[in-house]
Amino acid sequence: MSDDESAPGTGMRAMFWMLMTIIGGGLLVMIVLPLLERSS
Amino acid sequence: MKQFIRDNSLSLFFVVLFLLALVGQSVAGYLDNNEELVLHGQSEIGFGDFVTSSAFLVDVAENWQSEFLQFSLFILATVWLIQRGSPESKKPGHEGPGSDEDQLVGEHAREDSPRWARVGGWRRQLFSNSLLIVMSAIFLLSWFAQSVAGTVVANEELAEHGSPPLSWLEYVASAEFWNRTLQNWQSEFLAVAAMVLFSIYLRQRGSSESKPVGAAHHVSSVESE
Repeated sequence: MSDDESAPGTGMRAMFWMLMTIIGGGLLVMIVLPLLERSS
Repeated sequence: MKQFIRDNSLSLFFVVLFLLALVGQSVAGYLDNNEELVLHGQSEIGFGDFVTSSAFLVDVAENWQSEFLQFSLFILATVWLIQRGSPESKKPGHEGPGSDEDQLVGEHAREDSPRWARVGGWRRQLFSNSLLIVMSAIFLLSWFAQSVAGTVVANEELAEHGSPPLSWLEYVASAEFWNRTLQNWQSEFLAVAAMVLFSIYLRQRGSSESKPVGAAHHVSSVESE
């Protein structure tokens, strides 16, 4: 099996979810903190 | 580990650059913010207070939204629009979502196709548009974050001058919100137009973003394969 035919490893999937988590967490922080600051 | 780094060097490179730039932005923004506070005769704030402040978050959010808008529009526009000769574009005549055969879905799916490409119904529909959906969702959420954090920052400034605060809707209709928004959009749209047009006539040997150096100007990379 050549390199580009080999299945993506669990590491790649982990990286996909890591970036999704960074973005999701970033969005949550950027929305929730200003809302809290606004209401205080 | 070595194999993992080699297989993922492009993603790793940009994730690391992103984190370094974000840290750099937070430090530079923190120092700049404190200089401003001192100039206005106010006391300095701590680093933790700054990175959780709306002043920092609005700057992060406004850049995120424009980047994700850029890619969302690019993904959507390249379904229907063509640029002859650009490796960023499909071949003329191939506009549209493509046949099930081309897209390897349903009965045309291969053994190793993702499961949601093999099944029918809403799952295939969702998976068929998942890149655009996720990128657009990040754009809309970042833009919303920019508007909320921007409201807080604008109201802090108004309070300093003894003016009444703006509601969220008033801020979204304000010149400041659109100034912050459009100054980011214009640069993104220019960069995409430049990338699409320049890649017809210019080359970078070895880059997946470029046609082969010897490919004719009128030939897209897809055609030259």
